Amino acid sequence: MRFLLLSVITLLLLFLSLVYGAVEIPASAIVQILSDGAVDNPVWRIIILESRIPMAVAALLSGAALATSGLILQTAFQNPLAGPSILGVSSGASMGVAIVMLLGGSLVASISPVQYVSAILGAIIGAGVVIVSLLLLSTVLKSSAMLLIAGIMISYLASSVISMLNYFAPADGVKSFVVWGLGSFSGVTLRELPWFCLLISTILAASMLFAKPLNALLLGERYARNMGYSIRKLRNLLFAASGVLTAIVTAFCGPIGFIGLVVPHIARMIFRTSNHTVLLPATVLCGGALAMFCNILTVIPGKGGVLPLNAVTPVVGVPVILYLLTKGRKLRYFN
Amino acid sequence: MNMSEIYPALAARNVTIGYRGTPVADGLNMEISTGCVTALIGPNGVGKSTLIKTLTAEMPPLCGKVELMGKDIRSYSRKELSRLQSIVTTDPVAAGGLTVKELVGLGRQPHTGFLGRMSDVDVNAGDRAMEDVGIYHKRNSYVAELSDGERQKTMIAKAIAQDTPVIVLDEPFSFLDVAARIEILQLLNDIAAGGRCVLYSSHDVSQALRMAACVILFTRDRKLVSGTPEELVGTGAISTLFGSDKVVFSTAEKDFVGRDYINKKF
Repeated sequence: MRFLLLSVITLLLLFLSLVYGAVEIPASAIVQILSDGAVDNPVWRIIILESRIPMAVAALLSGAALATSGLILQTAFQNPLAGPSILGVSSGASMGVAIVMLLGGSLVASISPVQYVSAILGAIIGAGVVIVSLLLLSTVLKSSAMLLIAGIMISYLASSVISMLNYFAPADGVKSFVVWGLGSFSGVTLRELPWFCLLISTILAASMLFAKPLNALLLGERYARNMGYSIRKLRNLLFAASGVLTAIVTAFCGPIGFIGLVVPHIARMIFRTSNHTVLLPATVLCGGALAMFCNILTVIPGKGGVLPLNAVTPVVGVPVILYLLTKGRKLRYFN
Repeated sequence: MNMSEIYPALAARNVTIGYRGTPVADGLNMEISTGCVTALIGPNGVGKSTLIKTLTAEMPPLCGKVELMGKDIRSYSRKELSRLQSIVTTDPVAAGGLTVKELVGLGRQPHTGFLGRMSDVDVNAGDRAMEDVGIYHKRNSYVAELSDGERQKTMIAKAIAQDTPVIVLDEPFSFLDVAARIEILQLLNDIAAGGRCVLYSSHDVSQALRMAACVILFTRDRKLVSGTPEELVGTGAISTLFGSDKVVFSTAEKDFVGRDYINKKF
């Protein structure tokens, strides 16, 4: 029932993302474009097909990816504060992109496939470096709270590397990096959309298989080991999936905070469960819906301007989480 | 012929426990058989938890070997182990948002497939385990809403649902009041009588002497002494437990008391 409602809301938001934009396009025209492609105004067609559809789909998938990444980290660390941005995974990906964008200055001016591929590789390598350091630290730091603190430290370190790169980089490189850093789902263009979809949805689909081991991890490492898991292998796999999801989204859309942290909590509270068989798909849907909703709000009506995504997500997310936190029967999901 | 009569379900053979470079105790020998509850008791800090972790393959013995069902525990894969041995700990769990039924169902994970889908057999095993520990009426409650005793019963039900011949409980009575302790010990006796090997660790000596069929003392000088409560009290072995002349065992009280208490007559 709740899944049905959430799916309807998600589809509705997907359609609304096509309707709302800097240019006013009547809903009837959009339906026409989607059904047979013929429409009075050819510009509308281009706007819908080349701008709004990629952006809406990018928002849907990025939100789902970041939220799933956050859920995996929260369960793996047994900590409600874990998330891709807090653990430094996002900062690591940003650092990778910064190195590509700011040091490979000449690449930035021309938008070439090489640039995209290298930015994505930079992000994945950056996120990978952070995740590998977290894994190495996790062999020494037994308590997950300590590991979380280590993650926050790594996050600071990555940010300071980015600041230094900014200081030494040429002005045009800095500008495009700063714009990228504000976060926007328009980073995925029609050309890259199929690849983006393929990558993200494959990893998301694979992540659904984590439901069983993630449920075991709710009981902590001793119980999970006793239920037949190799904790080291499982952790590596979970961190890798969560890191790659974050890295791909970050490479295209910039470092987007908040969604990864807050959506798993929203999903838990809506569905009143920690059972990942329910929670994983719920988080995917909630993440997609919240990201699309935020994306719609970034459009300033009638002005043609766009607000930075990272300025909007907390404005939407905080009231939702506060409402859910304060209403009704409360459950302690974590210890 | 019953196989379990040939070898003990769980045994330590000349085992050294501890972390690499810092052994905690060496030359440990013990055998635990099926059908009755065995209590591992000893003072805090003597290494009970380390021994339990070694017996459940959470850490390797530095020397010697641990035998499970007659074979070296290291010869089993993790998957095989999960069907032979289940544990109950008092570690905090982040499972507040699961229902009792879901948590007990986790015990079926070693028996379910890739997706963890529960067959009728699995559902029945979970239901029976919940009935055995007397938590079935709470099956739809959230774990977060249980009392400490109920939560511990749920964890035990999870271990029963896992359907292993050996169940090891690490300090299962921490945080529990006396009534809940007695209830759970009774429950463990029933589980053992049903044909399983049950081992629990505790520092509650008097309770173990009263309710466990077999007791293993882990003494202050890091030796293991096994026997029935009567044997341990009769031979005086029990009085070596704390290795202190200020804390002595009173046969009248069936418990440890202060030295001065013996002289004082009430």
